[in-house]
Amino acid sequence: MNLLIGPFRRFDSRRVHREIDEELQFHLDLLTEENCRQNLSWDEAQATAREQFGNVAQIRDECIRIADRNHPAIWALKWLLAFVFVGGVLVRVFSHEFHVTRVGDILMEIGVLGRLLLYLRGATRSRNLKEPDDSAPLKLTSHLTLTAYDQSGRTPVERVLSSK
Amino acid sequence: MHGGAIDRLKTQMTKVRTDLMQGTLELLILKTLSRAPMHGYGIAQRIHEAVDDLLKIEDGSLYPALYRMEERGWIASEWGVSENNRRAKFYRLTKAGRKRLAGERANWERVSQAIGRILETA
Repeated sequence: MNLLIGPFRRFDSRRVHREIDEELQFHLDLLTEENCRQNLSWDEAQATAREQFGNVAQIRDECIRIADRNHPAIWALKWLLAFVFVGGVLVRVFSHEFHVTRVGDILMEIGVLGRLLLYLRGATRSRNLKEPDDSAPLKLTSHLTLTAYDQSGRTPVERVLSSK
Repeated sequence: MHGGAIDRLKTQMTKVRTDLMQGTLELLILKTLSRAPMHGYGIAQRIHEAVDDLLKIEDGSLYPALYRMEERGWIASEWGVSENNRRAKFYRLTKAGRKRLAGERANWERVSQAIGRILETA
């Protein structure tokens, strides 16, 4: 049943956003529980968990931005607009009657304007969100350096790669 | 200044900011998921255990990476029930993800080998 309903759940943006909140909250809760086991008070454990997690609001925004970008409705609309535009071009090319070519022009305009509106919508939505810079190196806080070797002479990354 | 604040400042100062090559976190996630499907917290714990706190990765930074990887088709997610009976989102590696892991791993080994040679000879 999940297999059938699953893809359609993605159409509901609010549901997707709620699931992101739930996922992040689950992680924060487990971190807090872990800190409590190490004899921290509940408040201290929560504060430490937030510190370990990072900027919750910014991470949530980033996840929402990525999820929205992949919203099936947006994909469907983009394809529809592309078909409308191509349809307009075909009508314009193969028809010589004024009224029909005018329809082709309108279809092309709808295609271009639709894409422009989608682009503006995305730009407006992400204006207040921090855009991750894919070209920038990932920033990590480390007690030691990336090339800190263990007893076998492996770096931390090599240890993860060689773990079974 | 408050004693606690001084301690926090000292801790901050002793920490060294390290730039990790882009894609390394993704490589670590892919490798971790190659063992078994896991939720975000599990992935973070597994990475922390493996690196013995030599690298401090902010747990939250995993999530945008996970969402981007899912967007690229390297991993897939499904809601399930965690070991403590709570609803959790589990991630698993896809066929494309396995292919990507093999490629990234070979790339990492080639780069680290090259850097190692330079460090030995220079």
